[in-house]
Amino acid sequence: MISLLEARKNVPLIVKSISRGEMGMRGIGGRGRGGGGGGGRRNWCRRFSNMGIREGVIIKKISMHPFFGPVIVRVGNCEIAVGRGMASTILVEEVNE
Amino acid sequence: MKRILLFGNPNVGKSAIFTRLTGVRVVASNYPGTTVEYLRGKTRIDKKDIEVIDVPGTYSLYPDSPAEKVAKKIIDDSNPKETVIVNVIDSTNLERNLNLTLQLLSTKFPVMVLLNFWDETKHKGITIDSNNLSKLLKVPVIPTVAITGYGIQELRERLSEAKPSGFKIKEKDTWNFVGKIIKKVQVIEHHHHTFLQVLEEISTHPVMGIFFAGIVLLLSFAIIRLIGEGLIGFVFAPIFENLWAPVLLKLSAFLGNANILHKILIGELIEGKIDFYQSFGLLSTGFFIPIAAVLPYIISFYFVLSILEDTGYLPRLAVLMDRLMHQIGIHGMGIVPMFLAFGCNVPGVLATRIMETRRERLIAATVMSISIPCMAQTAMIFGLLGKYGFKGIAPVFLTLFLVWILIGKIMARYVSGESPEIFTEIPPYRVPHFQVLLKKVWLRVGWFLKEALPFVLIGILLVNLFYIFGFINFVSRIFGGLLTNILGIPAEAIAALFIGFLRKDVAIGMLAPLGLSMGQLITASVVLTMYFPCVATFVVLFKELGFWDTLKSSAIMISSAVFVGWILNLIY
Repeated sequence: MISLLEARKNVPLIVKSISRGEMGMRGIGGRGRGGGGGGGRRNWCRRFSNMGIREGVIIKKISMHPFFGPVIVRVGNCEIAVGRGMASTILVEEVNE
Repeated sequence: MKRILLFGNPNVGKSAIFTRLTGVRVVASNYPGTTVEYLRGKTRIDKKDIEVIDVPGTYSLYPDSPAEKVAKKIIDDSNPKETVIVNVIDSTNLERNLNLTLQLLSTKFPVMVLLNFWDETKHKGITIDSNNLSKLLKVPVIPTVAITGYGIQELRERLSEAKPSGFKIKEKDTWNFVGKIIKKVQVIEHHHHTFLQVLEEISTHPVMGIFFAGIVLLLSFAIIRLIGEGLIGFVFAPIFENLWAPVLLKLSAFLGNANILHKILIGELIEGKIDFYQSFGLLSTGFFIPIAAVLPYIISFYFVLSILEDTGYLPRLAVLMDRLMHQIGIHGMGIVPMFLAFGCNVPGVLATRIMETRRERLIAATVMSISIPCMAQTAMIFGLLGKYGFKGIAPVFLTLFLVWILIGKIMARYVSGESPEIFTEIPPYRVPHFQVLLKKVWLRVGWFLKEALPFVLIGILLVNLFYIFGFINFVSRIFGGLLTNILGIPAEAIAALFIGFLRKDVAIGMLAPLGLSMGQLITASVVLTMYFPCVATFVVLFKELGFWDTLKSSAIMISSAVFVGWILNLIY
């Protein structure tokens, strides 16, 4: 199990879990606070899930923008831009086809 | 049945369905107690008027964002006996969309499901068995293509078939259930990339995307200028010169030239005529500037913005700009208000509402008012310094950009509050629906007129009164000497700075006859852009940020303008 940030691009990845750890909570700016869209981890888990990112789903990492830019993820037929902090909490494994 | 609620995820073509149903009579309003806007219109079905509400796009009924809270509120405030929920689904994204559908089915409301973008499923190799889906969900399911109108008639005819489905499903089981449905109704085949998909890949590519964005932005600004200047030159200015000016001249004769009412309403006659740029009366310059000089640009800006939005380019731009915007403590979507501000700071400040937290809004509004010159200012800066070419103009914009970053960085460090990360869907490119586009521009322009114009006029009236009673002269005499020393520009130019509160572009124009050196012109242009927003922006800032944050914002503006002016004075 690796974080989405470390995963290879353009290969099918299965979402294993959304990390409970503190990584990514630091997010950006704001005296070390921020990240998470103004509402704690549970909330952010649900936002992932609403967009189709949840355990057992196959996703693809399309690109990762440099200098701590967002990660572009393909889920089903749509693409989602996820900030790095949030993306680091998505734990995935490569799927062997 | 009295009411139809159009529910759906963002970017599912809800607005196009709404436009198909309602025609022209549409009202946009803020939901009571929120800044979230929603659309209301009317449609006639079976000879009855039915209210149609375009509910803000939502991913679920467990709200996470202000827009989703409003969606939930609209449901709570509706009566299940008199309301039908029409759930618009993006058929190319069935799985994700069904989450909301199942939540809607669990309410007491009658539901009907529209499989929109039905035509796109073919290009994408997706086959959906809509009859089977209807059986599984126990509600009518209709394939639609909002842009062509396909399926809309069927929607009207079958609306009465919608009924509560009586689904009961726990939140944690929803996705499992969705998975089961998908297996039964959807088949996906492999397909080749279309031209639009290649374009999609290019436009979010970390390197190629930047070039693509450059082209898109240059093109956008070119179109904005073309439409804006066209509207001014061929529509608005002629109307004012030929129709409004004679009326004002009659009024002027009626009032008599010397009294104070004449000064307030009409201002000074220039060579016996109304000069809409220099008369400075409430009815002359006061009307002309917001309506004939700013409004055309607002129209063209909103037009281009709506195209960028409806094609699906904006979220891609936000992704590319995310890194840059993080420098100032806001995420990529902050590019939208910044972009608007280049047209006019007023809609720019209003657009900061799309940011989620107070901290982001304060930073975005302040940084924008300080360092983004509006279209009128940009034109004047070019007019003043254009003769020096690149070495005259580049320092102004370079300084402004550095100021943008620096002030943003400082504010990001010291303004408390949260800055969420970017988390946004990137919808596929789509050809915008022209009618929807026009309606959107129309609603936005109407909104600008309603939200901003009255405040602009009040502001202009106040400044006129200050000017007439000598207050501005008085202030510029007090601070003039001090500023001359710091900024190194003559006292006459300082007066222009104070006029700048009324109209910055006019103030920059006042500098032209003073014979300033290039360095002085650069300093004056930068300071003028930075030191204070024009009165219209100031009023809107006040409205959006409230008293204390506007005060903070103003303090930052004035001190940074003086400081940067001082540095420039040292350099030149």
